Amino acid sequence: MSSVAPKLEAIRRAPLRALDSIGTQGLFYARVLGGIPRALRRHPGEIVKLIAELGTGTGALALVGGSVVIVASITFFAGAVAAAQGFESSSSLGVGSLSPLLAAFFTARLSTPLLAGVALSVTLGAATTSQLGAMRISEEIDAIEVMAIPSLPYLATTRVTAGMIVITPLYVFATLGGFLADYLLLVFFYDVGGGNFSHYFFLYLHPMDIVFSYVQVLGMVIVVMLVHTFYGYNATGGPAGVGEAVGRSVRASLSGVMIVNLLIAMAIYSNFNTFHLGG
Amino acid sequence: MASAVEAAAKPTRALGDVLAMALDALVIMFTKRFSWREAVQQSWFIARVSLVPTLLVMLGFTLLVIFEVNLLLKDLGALDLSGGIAGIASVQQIGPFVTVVVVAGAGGTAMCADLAARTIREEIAAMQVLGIDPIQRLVVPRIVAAVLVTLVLNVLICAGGLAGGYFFSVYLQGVTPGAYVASIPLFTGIPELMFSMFKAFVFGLIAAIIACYRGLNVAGGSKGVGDAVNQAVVITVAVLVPVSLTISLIQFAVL
Repeated sequence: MSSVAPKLEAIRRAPLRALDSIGTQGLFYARVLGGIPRALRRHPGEIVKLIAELGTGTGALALVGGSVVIVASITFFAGAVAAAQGFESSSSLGVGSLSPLLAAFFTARLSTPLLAGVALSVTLGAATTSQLGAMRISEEIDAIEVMAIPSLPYLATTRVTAGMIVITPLYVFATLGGFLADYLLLVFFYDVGGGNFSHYFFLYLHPMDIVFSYVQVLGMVIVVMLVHTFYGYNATGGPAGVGEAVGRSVRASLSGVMIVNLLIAMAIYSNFNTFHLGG
Repeated sequence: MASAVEAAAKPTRALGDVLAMALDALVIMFTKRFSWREAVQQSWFIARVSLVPTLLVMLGFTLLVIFEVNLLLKDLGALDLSGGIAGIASVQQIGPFVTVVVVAGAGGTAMCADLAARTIREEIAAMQVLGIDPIQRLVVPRIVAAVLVTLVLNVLICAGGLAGGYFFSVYLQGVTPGAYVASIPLFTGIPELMFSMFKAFVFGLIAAIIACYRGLNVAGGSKGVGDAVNQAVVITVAVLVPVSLTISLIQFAVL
């Protein structure tokens, strides 16, 4: 009996704890975003340094070319899958030559933003958590506070800001990776004519789609950086706790990113459907 | 010069180590005693940490695709095909992608963090001193557990994607319910489902091997543990996406 009572107590407290953690996280995010003017004014050098660090990655990840290469290669293969599935499905209906159209649609609107969101969460995000978590555990954050530097704007806000800036070049490479995969796969692997490809591809690649997908990715990177700085900044429990924090933050941000993406896409595309087959 | 060669050899050496560990695990799985208790516990652990992310990622991923494709189909006047597209999306392509994301991001990170914590506390070294093989006791059950849970999650993702697509298409975008259900088998049959399950099997296997390898080979204090988990998830996603493409291409060539 004695082991049941604490469990029941834990179950009873669970909703309150969830409410608590929503409040804590919300307050943290508000303070991080509120610190943006201060971070831009006081720590511009730190932001520039972080942009370089986030773009190229650190340690073993820098060896293969950093976040840029990883994100671009993930969207490259996702674009290739979209192109292959598009070709196979459309040629089973007898309209295989229309597959560049499908490739343009799926790569620009779906595979690039979705996979870029995943890639951002696992590269930029997880690296941030690991870095901040290690700083928290080795009491560097407390040392910064002792030196009378508010640690939240200095560490968390600068990272969120740097993430929002570094996303632009990353997004360009991610999109180009996806389109390159469409071209290579359809033209060289499936023998869709090169002229046919460029005709249908650019006919249905609406410029606004690219802008919208950039908006999606920008929304996702803000969520990713906020969630990951929260888990890193509040890591506890020694070296093992840092690993635990990275794991938990990846789970949280993956779920959050997908929901944010779904909501942004529904808000955008149900009002402005840029795709008009009949002209 | 020597350092350049060393830097170039490092990734190759890591690849060799991973393959060696996988081979060890494969041999031990069938020759030595299999620790059932650990496998069951790990299955429960991985399922517990993956379930909520699976549902949320599936919602975001599959429903977004179905929603946007329905817009396209509406323009073509082929809205009655939306079930077929939902089948392609949730069973053939998006389902396995969601599985990749969840297995690498949720199961893999939790497994890697757990093993890295044990390594950093020198529990693994203590096990070796006691004459217990960590590969037999820890890695093999984790690989089996990850593969099992991935297969189950893939079924969940396929079924959930189809059900979610039904609600989305029928109640929000005005597709006829009968047309939705009737068009599902148009593109997706038993062979496609088998390929989807095969993908899930391969993903679970690779994710577990990478997570265990990074977890057991961690060095350098708290920064090292965080980096290990980070690298495990990056490497897993970066490896699994091309693997997914390759299996898809094989599937298209075979079927």
